[in-house]
Amino acid sequence: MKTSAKSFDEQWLSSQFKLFCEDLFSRLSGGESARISLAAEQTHFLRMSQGAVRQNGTVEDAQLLVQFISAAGQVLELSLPFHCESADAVAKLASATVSKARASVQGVPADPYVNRPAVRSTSSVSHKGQLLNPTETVEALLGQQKQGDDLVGIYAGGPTVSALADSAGMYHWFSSESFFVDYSLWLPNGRAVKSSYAGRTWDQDAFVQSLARARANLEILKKPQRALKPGNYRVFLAPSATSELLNMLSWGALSEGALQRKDSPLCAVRAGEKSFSPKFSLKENFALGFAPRFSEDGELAPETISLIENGRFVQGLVSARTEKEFGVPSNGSGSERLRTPEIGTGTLAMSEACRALGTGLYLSDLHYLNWSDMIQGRITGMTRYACVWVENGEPVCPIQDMRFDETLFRCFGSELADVTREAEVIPETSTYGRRALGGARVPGILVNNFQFTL
Amino acid sequence: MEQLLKKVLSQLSIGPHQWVGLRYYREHARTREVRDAHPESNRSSETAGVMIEWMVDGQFGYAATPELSESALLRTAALAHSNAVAASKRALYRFDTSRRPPSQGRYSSKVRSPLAQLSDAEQFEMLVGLTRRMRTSEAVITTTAYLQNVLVESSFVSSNGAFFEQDLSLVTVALEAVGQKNGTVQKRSNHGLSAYSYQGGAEFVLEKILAQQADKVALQLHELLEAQECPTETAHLVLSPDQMMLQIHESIGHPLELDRILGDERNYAGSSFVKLEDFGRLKYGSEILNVTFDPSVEHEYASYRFDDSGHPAQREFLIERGILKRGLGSLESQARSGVPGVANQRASSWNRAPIDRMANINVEPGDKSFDQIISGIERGVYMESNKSWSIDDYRNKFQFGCEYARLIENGKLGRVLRNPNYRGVTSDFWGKLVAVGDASTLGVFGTPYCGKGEPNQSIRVGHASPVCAFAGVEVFGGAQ
Repeated sequence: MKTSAKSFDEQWLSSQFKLFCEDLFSRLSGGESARISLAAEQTHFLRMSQGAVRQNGTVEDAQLLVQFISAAGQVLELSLPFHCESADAVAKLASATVSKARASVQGVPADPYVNRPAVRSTSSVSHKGQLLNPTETVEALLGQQKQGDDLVGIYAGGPTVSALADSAGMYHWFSSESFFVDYSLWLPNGRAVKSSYAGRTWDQDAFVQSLARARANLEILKKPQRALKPGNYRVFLAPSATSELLNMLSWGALSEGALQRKDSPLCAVRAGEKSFSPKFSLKENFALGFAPRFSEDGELAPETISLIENGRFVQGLVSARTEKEFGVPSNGSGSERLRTPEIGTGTLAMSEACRALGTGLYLSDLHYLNWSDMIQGRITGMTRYACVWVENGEPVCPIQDMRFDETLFRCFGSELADVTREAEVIPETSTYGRRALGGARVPGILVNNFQFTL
Repeated sequence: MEQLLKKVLSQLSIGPHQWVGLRYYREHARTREVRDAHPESNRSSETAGVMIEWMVDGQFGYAATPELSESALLRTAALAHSNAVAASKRALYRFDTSRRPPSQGRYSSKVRSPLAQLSDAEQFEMLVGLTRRMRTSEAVITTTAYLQNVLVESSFVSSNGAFFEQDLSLVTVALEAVGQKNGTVQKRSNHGLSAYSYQGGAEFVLEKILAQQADKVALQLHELLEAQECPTETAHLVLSPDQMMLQIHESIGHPLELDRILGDERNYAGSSFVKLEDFGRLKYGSEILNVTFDPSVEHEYASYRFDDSGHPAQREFLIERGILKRGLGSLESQARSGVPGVANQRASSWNRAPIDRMANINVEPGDKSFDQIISGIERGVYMESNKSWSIDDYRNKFQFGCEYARLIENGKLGRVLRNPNYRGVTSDFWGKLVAVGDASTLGVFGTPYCGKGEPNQSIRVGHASPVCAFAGVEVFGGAQ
């Protein structure tokens, strides 16, 4: 890997990866198989606080994950750094990896549900972008402020690579040059507007417009905040807030394995005891282009997977592993978590959200959600950022943040009043360990009797 | 590694008032998981790299690489310099070299016997046995046993003469059983999600101890399947050390982090209800509340000798007799805030820059035995082992759920309760602390998963606490 985003050498990385895979696969003997994935990135991180630079740095990384499966079905996953300078070094690494894997599975019980490589498929997707040069980033981000702006957040940008190969002939490559700015603008009174700007081509004007919109949204937050009593309120959840509820469906709910083990709130839906609203539809949509269809578990998802259709539960996220254990056909969802979800839109115009809400709460964002009773689908969490009291369709003032405790089956079911006809892209901004790929396309929702407890 | 780092450092042209540090970090994690007597995961993960920080005009820039060659490190150093120069024009604060002490020394986890003395096959055999042991009836749907051993090596050299090395050996064992009976689904584990986490080796993986834990998990799972819902009422709440861990973490640890109070985390993890002027004055809790930052506790999960800025770590009181004394702030945050802090500038790995983190944050023991605490309560609920956690971005309004509870009536532990939850407000809750258990009630736990920072970092923390009792807390059960 080279030193700057401009010189991240994807071709070189690709050739080294191919070489490593070919070498390692050639060393396998009768009955052994292997799967190899690669995650590489070169990311410039600019961390901002109070409209200034808190930390500024660059990280390059390339990590392999080798899944070795012995003839008897014993498995070892080896995750290791990948930065070989020469063909000899590649061969040495491949040899050492196979030797270590063979030694490490000795005496380990066979895995009855292992997904052995079996399908030949190939793909190559490369999304080129126009990114900021690291030396330009500070001025591009912080040179646009108005006096008094208290900007907090992060810019992360640069190339990323995800690749997968296996000993049966699968080979997939996905590269993307992308960035996101995840930021908030703050008032001295402690209220803030949260926003993001993401893409593959940096457009300075678009970022300036994003800042201007956030700045305009701060106006209502300058008013004194209102403390509301706990109780039931009609609420409008903006797309960002809706996406937080959506994330909970990834936490053990839509997993077919969890469903089979009776450890999912959606067991009651499948059993017909609980239901969603006909206004609620959900699918995985890889056509959005945020994430590759293949996963490091060696599975290839179809372009779309319909999960909930007009309130009817269609299917869970099924991995090949779950298929082996429970006999439910896989839909290529290796991790059994949502990767590129899309909630179906409705008929409510986003511009009419406050009017449709009437009197109640406009919730821009939610914070720190967790199951308060998972099997019952009950979730607790907080309101955050630009949450506003609305009266007769007019925003009145910000609210003091409140705790809610509510079920999925009411939010997306009995209490779901309407869904907006526009949806927003919520970019994946997770950078734990490495910069994640993905994103969601989410509308706003109008919900009756949303329960606040504190 | 020492030679390579020092050689690279010697070749850099470091200007006056500038500073350069090189931090090498290697982590090897061995993870095994068994579900229902079959292997679920068998993973060996290795990551290694060097982060170089360069301070120019009082602004740090950084660059990190996994390539451990001289040429790669020189290239990375140039990038760190370039990042510092670019950032210095809009620096939030101009630091000086006093924020990076020239510390020297060495730290190693105390390990009585390395976990590697158990072969892969033996470790799997033990985990398989534990999953079978927890499956004591048809009502048990799933049992899992998880074992992880992480070995960390790190070295640090700097242009003002720092050189220290730290080696860690970390162990986590997680046992869990899920059961179903008459439409009720319940889970029980050994102390909540991954709380059985320590610095050490095979001494924390003794089959006899884990078998006892597995038996307790299975027994209490069956109790939960027959239990009534936790009642909804305002009552005394008694928390076991494995739930105090979460309570300390969320409502003392995070709000006292100075970078949150200074505003750096407002876009992600959040801010704090605590203000800079509160240190030395704020009555954080009742007079029996004493809380320390203590990275010197042998075997506690987040012990170390130096933080990642080179600041020597030592025990400090954060809260003494209920009064807030000191923040969880590094030398950088101390310079920015003027508030006394601790040695807590830590990074999750070689590819992340260090920020203010918790380490071991402990509630100090009081003077009551467990029986004395319970016998003094007319009506209340005793809760164990965290399963749900949520708190606002100022660390005030919280709601926590536990795996297991017992009703307390007339000074005695009574029937088992399922789905116990409680909620409160931090600034009020610690004032309701009415009893702190003595050393006989102390439990030491940890977690590998404390998330914070932009870019995100997940770091290890430890929490020790005795059993504690609170008066007048809102408790409630699951959904109706």
